[in-house]
Amino acid sequence: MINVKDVERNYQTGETVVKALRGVNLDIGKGEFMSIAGPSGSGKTTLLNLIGCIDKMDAGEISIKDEAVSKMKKKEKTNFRRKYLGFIFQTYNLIPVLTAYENVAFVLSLLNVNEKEIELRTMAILKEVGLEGMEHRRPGKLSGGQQQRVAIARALIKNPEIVLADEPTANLDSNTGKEILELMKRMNKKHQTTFIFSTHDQMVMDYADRLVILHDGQIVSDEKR
Amino acid sequence: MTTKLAKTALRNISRNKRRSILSGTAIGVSAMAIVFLFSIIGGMTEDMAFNLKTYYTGEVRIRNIDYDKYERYNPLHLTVDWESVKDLLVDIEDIDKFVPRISFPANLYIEGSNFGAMGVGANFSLEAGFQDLDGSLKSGRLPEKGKNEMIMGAVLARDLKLNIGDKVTVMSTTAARGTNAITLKIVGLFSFPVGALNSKYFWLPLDRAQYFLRMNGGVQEVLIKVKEGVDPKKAAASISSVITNNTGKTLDIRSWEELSTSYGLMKMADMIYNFIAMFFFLLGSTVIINTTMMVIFERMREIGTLGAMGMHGKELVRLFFFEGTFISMIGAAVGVATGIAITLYVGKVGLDFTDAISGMDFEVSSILYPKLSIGKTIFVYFYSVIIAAGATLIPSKKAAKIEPVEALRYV
Ligand SMILES: Nc1ncnc2c1ncn2[C@@H]1O[C@H](COP(=O)(O)OP(=O)(O)OP(=O)(O)O)[C@@H](O)[C@H]1O
Ligand SMILES: [Mg+2]
Repeated sequence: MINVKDVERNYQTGETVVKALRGVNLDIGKGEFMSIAGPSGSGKTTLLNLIGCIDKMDAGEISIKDEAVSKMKKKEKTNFRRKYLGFIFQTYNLIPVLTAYENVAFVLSLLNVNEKEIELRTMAILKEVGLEGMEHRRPGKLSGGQQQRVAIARALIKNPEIVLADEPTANLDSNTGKEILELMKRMNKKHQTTFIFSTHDQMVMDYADRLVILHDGQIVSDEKR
Repeated sequence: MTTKLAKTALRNISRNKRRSILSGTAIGVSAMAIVFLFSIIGGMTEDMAFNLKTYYTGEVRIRNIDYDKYERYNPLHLTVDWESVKDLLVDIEDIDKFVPRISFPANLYIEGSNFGAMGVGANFSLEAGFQDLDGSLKSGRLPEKGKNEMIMGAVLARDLKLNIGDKVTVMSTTAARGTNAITLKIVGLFSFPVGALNSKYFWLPLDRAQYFLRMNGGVQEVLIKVKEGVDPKKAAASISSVITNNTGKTLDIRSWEELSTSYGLMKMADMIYNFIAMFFFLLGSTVIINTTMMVIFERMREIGTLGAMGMHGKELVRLFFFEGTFISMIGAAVGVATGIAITLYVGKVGLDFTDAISGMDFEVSSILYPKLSIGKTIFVYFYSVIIAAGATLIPSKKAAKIEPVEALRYV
């Protein structure tokens, strides 16, 4: 479903050019639960951003659902993300003035889903991620783990093809991190959503069905488990 | 979607209360100032109109057709035939009241010295219906027809150290270009709302003025007030045709708006004040431009998140634009309300300009009562909101240009 071919990404900082990705090739199928690991600066975030259609590559091509990302215009990319991609961030990134419910429901408003259906689906997904009864709390009144659950619900509510998560557990203690990973995995199995998440935490890697290791912008290992 | 954005924007206002209050206050203060300023102008314009209609020109003024051409030579011989005109005016439907007047420059001869002043010959029984003479008379009584009496402006009397009962010799040039003198006894002191009228003028009975100035029963001018709802300009035209048809003579008959240059200036000033208002609002808007800018930087990661989730630049712009607009609407509402409150209060007490405009020959009263105009006030509200909201659009547009990747990396 996702095909990454010879992708390169260079960052220009003044005189020096940092080659963040140097020829990455990857095929990711539907419903995979995949981790991208590697040391700091190895290019994990860069790769996720490219797959997430929010960054531009310098060479190569990524196609998602047979669409070439590099050929898409800015507006098309935005629409593509709106429909098919979900994001989970290390810092949760919820909108602080909106309640848990509203943070999640917002996504469906962007897709012009009618109010009735929005309510049903939002309540259902919040229950699924274990936030029943906390729908009307604002992020400030939720723990880190709970906030990340809201973020997962927000990413999953529209039944996206792919969920991208850059270090989703890095801000959580290991127990909470485990709960979040188990939740993600359960969602992956239940909805057949493709999950791609980055980490440099061994415990997190252990949860993955497939582990890709990056080093200096290149894939050094790719194993199914 | 738009309602969701609006709702979020509304809540965002309270995220940084102090800053929102600052923006709102800047807009509110300018709205308040402008409401008050417009009320002062409104009061001034209305006051000037009242004074012009009552003391200077009436709503329609009749003069000899040649008078204006020779006005600077004080052509008292160019008269209006009061007796015949009077009878015609009474029968004209549009006319409510009218008074004859003769104004003339005079010298007051007091203890060997001359003091310049202005005399007004008037029919006091007609004047009583034309203006609030009783209210203006501070002490004493009105002069009686046929008697050598006068009332004098309270300020002029004070300056000349005169009082009721004193006799003053008045000298002036007659219609026949001769010099004449008359001694008048002060029987009352008056104080009109217009400062200049009190420091220069004395009034005497019309018949005494006619006799003294050798005017042969003529008067210098007739001031007319038309009935409510009648357009003075149209009335002037119909009066003119009635007089011409009946006497065969053409007189100079014009409405007050045609006659007064200062009133025209006042109206032009009104336009200028609209620009001043705009300037004020733009000034107030710089604050909201700044705060919106800050807010955008502060919520950078949020912009990145929303962008990644598939929100278009246009929608992000609206989010910040709505926030700014709401702040403007609230700020302007509070400002306008305060402006109304201040205006109503000052409208009761009055603003005393006596010292500021003393000695100025301007048909405005020394004490000014700001006059609230509902139309103007509503206009000020929308005017300020539109300018402030337009101003927030400038920084808001920046939000559309931000790339989600960069915004997400922003700390
Ligand atoms: N915007 C940028 N400008 C310049 N260099 C960048 C930029 N983003 C990333 N880099 C560089 O590209 C390389 C890869 O960065 P990337 O963020 O993808 O690594 P990462 O694997 O996510 O690291 P971490 O584990 O620290 O998050 C690094 O050397 C980094 O310094
Ligand atoms: Mg990273």
